[in-house]
Amino acid sequence: MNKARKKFVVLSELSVILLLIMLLATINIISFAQAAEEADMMTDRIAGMNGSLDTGGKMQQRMDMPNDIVQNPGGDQQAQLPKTDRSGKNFRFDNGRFIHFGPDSPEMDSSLRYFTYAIDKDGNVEKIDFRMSAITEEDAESWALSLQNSSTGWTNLSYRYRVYEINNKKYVTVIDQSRELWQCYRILIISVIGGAVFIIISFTVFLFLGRRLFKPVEDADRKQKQFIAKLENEFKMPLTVINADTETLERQGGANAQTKSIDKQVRRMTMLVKDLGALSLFDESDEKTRIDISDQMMAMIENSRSKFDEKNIKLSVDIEPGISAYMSDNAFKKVLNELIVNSLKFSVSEASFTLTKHKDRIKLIQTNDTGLPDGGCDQIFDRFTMLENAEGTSGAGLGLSNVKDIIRASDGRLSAAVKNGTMIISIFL
Amino acid sequence: MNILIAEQDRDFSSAFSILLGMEQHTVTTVYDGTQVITRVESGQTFDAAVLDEALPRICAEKLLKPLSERNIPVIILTSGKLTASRLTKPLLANAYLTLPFLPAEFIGAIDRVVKNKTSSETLRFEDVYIKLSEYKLCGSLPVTDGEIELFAAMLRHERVNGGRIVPYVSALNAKLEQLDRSIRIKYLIDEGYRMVRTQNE
Repeated sequence: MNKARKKFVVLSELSVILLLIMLLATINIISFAQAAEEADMMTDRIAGMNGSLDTGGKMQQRMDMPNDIVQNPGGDQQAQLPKTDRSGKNFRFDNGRFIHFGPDSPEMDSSLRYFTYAIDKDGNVEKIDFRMSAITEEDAESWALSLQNSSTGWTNLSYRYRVYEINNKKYVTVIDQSRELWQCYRILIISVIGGAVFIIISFTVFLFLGRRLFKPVEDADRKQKQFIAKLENEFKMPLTVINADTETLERQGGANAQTKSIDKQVRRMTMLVKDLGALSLFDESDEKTRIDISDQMMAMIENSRSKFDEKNIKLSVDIEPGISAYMSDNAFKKVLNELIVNSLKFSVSEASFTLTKHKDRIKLIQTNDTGLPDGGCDQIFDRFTMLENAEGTSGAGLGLSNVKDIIRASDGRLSAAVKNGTMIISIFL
Repeated sequence: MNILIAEQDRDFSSAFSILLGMEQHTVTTVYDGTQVITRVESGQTFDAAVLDEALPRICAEKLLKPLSERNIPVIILTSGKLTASRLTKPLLANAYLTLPFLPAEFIGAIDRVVKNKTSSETLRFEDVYIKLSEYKLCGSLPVTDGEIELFAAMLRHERVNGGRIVPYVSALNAKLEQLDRSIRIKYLIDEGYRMVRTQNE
């Protein structure tokens, strides 16, 4: 898959996953918060009724009942109804909440599973109400004792508790919310399964879209490479023939200013053609292997040492041995060759090559004393870009752009900056 | 010397015919593969043949066999990249020249292949040898002019530089491995490319 298309699919999919996680997380947080709030309403209601919804319960405590609770005189088994029922409507919307609906429904009272225990200052435990079947009264008593110093929250996964004081006694009310929580867990399960399905579907869609969207770009890229390769081949023969004709002219009439000029221009064009060749020949699908870059770098620099000596450039080399990288052998040679050629062209008197490895990051630093003004100059990696010190040198500004293509294709990064007149090219693999 | 140039680009043929003429060589120019066959079958003798890689009708690769049977050294002109895999094929030209090249490189290549073909010299390093007139490594695998130059330079302890030598190094190493020899070409920091015996054998 083309690199740009792969990037598009991955980034789009990551965005969708991020948005989906945010959306589903919000829904589920609200769902669980709602369940907690509803449970708190129930415990609050029980607290308001002195720990029991049962009218036949502990009557001696009802004198302390809050004003907003009315006692239903109808009989022992009927539930307490809130004052808001006075409107006579069974279901109405009041202050953002359905009254007599959900946790406010009087039916909830009869179906509610809960217990309340009162604990006095001496630690004596008194049962106020117990409507549970999942746990025993002994368990409930020990829960109450363990929760007496808390205020409200969840206990034993699906039980909501509230601790409050009436007549200097601590009341612990615990209600079973497993049915209500199950609804929340169901939403959570649906979110996870639905989210996974949506991610798979969206990935398929992005793959399809990516192919459609990037086809023209990939076609253009392929055609550009073919064009450059053809252009390079078409130039090779004329250059060779011009070279031969110039040689013939020089042999027949001796070398003159014109033949020398032709020779010089042909050499320039030959270099340009070679650069174009590198541009078209570089292929991201070049076979990648584990190569010893320390050895290769040392060999190539040593090969060129005489050229640095000829130009009186002091060459410093610091290569950590045994560093290897997973990349195309040809591509790495091309990178080093371009750095060496660049250094030979632009160094005034000093150049250095450093290769180090820290953790898993390989760092290749190449410096040349250029005398250029300080600052970043990543533009040297752009095609056909040459800096002011390139005047009078051969080349077309393609070499370092080839380096950029190769490093990016190997998932590396590179930068260039001038510091104290020294150009520093940094490559991270 | 009689040189056959088979190249469809007539300007190329003309330019190099004049140059070779100045070097006192006789040049015959043809423009496709069938003309090469016609010329050699007619009994015309050549000291060397220069073939364009993409010659019309019969390509240069297919002309290698009939020309080698007549002991005519062949130089192939190529515009593509010279790779080690190409240099390890069972049938090879005596030299490959990659476009664009200088006239001196062209004339130098012709002189070398003709000289080698008539030479009785054998280059030897321990149990590895190249008999120049055969263009074969240890008498069995074909080698090219580039490999012979590399081998000779290493025997003379000369330092050979440049990226163009790399495919020849790889090709020679592959052939040495194929011949089950324990000699390999390695790059030594202080000396450049050298033939060394591998330690594990």
